[in-house]
Amino acid sequence: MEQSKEPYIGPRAPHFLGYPEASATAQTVAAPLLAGASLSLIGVIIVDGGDFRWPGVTLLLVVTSAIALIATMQIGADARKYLYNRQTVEAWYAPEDLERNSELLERRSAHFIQWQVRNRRAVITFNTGTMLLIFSVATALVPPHDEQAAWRWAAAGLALAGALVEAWWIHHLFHEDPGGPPQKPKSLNGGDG
Amino acid sequence: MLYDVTLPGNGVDLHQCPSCVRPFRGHYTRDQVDDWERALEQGESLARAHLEQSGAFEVLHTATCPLRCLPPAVLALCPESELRAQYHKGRAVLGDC
Ligand SMILES: [Zn+2]
Ligand SMILES: [Zn+2]
Repeated sequence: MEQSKEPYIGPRAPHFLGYPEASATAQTVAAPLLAGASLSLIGVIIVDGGDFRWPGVTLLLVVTSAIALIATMQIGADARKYLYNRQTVEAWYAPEDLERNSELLERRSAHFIQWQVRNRRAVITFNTGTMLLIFSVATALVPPHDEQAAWRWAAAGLALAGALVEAWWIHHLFHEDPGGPPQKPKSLNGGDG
Repeated sequence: MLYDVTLPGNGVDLHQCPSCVRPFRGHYTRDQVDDWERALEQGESLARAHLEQSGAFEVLHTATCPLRCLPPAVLALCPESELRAQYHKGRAVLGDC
């Protein structure tokens, strides 16, 4: 067997170190609020269906949105258990334990990969849920009769424009350039010193 | 396609090389890791062809990164000990790449 030296392999970490917190906020703060909004919209349409042009379509969209947002919370919470840093490991295990059980640190890298795989699903359901919610709001705003029709059309158009911006944003985040090889940091005026 | 558009808000599918920490993008599956192992078993030229089409050379590793000759799926999905094994398997077939 060919002898080769051991490669350096560092700990697994997100490229943007703030990403886990950002994505947890979307899943634990934004998703519940939006799911709550979806459920109240469902209530309004069930009671006052006549005030909407297409109550059936709106209901279908908003129910799907609520399901996606609730799924986000659950999938996200399940994913979150796989994400922890070295400090957490060290809080639970003394250095002697870690030395004895190299598996503990090895497991962390496997868990980090699991977090990425599962959190990705929560991101997809979150994006789907928000898009559907905007579309359902747009259909709810379409005027059912001539009264105030121009204003409601304008509001519906605005919501649709919002949907397009949201779609562009999601797409942009997917293709965002993480930045190539490191550049020399520019010194900001008043930087720490 | 809705799937493509709604894929990942917030930098999902962003990985980094566990050795040189350079970032790369993509969604990878275990099937791709299996494909790589099969290609490696079939010898050097097929392994090189697989590396090429897996996008391994588009990852901007540092020039001396020991993991620069592994497909991005392996970098993204293999935990540490498996990654070490992959490194040795790759070296055995491709040498210093
Ligand atoms: Zn080894
Ligand atoms: Zn590298």
